Amino acid sequence: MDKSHRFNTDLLAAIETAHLLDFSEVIVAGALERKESRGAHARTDFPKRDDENWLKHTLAKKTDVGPSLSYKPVYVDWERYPPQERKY
Amino acid sequence: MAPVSATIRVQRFNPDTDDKPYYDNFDLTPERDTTVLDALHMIKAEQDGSLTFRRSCRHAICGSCAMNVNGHNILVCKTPLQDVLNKNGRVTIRPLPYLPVIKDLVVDRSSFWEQYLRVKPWLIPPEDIPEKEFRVSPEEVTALNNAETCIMCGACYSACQVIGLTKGYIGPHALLKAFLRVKDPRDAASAERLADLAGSDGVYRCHTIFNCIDACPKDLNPTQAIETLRKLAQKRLAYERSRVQRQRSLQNPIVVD
Amino acid sequence: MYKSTGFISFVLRRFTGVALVLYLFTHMWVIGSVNSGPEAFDARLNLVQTPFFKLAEIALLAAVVYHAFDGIRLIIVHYFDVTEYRKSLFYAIFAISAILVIAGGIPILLFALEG
Repeated sequence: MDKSHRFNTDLLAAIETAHLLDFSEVIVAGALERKESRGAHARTDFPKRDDENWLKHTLAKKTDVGPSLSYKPVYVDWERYPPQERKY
Repeated sequence: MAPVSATIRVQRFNPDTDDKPYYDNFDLTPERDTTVLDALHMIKAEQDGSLTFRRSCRHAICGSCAMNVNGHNILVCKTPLQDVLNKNGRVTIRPLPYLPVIKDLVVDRSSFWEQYLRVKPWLIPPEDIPEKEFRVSPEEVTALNNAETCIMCGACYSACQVIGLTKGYIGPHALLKAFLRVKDPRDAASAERLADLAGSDGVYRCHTIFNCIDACPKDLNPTQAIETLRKLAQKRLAYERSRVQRQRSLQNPIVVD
Repeated sequence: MYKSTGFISFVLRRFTGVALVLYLFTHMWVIGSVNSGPEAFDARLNLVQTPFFKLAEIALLAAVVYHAFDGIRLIIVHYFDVTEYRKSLFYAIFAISAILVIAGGIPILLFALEG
């Protein structure tokens, strides 16, 4: 293990791993709440896209008991680019 | 056929604790497709976590992992270990030469970036920019191919003996970028650029050693760019006039015969 | 240290260049003595007629020939897009220089041994 005070990439990796854990928790919490499938967020229990309830951003705030979620509407230009499901 | 084991000889140096650089040997068992960077990762993960090196993308586009392997500057991420092992299964890895070592294989590239900024590596557009877009012919784009895929890894800069001898020299990487801007039909400052480049630290400081071509992991040719800049610098006002002429037609469609 | 044919050519070019400048001063030192009268000039000429200086003339020939052909090589690199053949070019001018130095060196050597 690198314990030096100069260009310590071991320490950097440890800090980055801690951040990865934080963000993993945020992603999992947000994904569990989002009861639909959208793009890369694919759920077998909710395989359909749900614009009615879930056309919104998930915001996460750090608290002592884990991330607390809130939501923010998505800006959509309904005139020119109405959202529609992707079909391939 | 892959040898059973390989010995990686790495130059180590931590200025805080070591008086001078020394070499450490690490033995490991490589696969057929192990790159030199993979080997360094294996050493860091399994043998010595204090081994320090820069790396990021692992596919030769970020330019972080340029190192001196067996005396040649290469990107370790795109070089298979088997290609650099000698017949005894040994390879020697050193930091980039002529640059101050921060720790182990990490070098201080401040001078590299300072020289890069000196050539103003950004586009300086003409005053009357076209309403829609600049029209540039395929030939003009092809002429820039030599310079535009540079990833700023520093392999050429640190292979150049002139850099080792003359601290003020702009360097092959920055001269290549200058070439890119001077030859760019949209750039309006070619005369000033060429006047700067013709100074004592510029294109005429190059001793045509060709190490930059040998070192470049992207097969670019800084020497040819420098020779081109030398030729243009000799007739820079005429070149500037031809640029102005060209820029008047930048918004017109390209006529292909 | 980054070794390559380009680096060898650079070192040889620098070395021969500096050597030729030093030679020029020696040359002027010998020729300049003509100002001090015929005796001084003869004395200095005798000084440089020794076998050592005759052998040194071979080195002078080598320096002049290599430096000149290296210059021609750089002119070729400047005016033609031949960086691809950089190694062959270096070997070529090195071979030409070697042949010329041998061809010119043998008479000098014979003359030196005679004298």
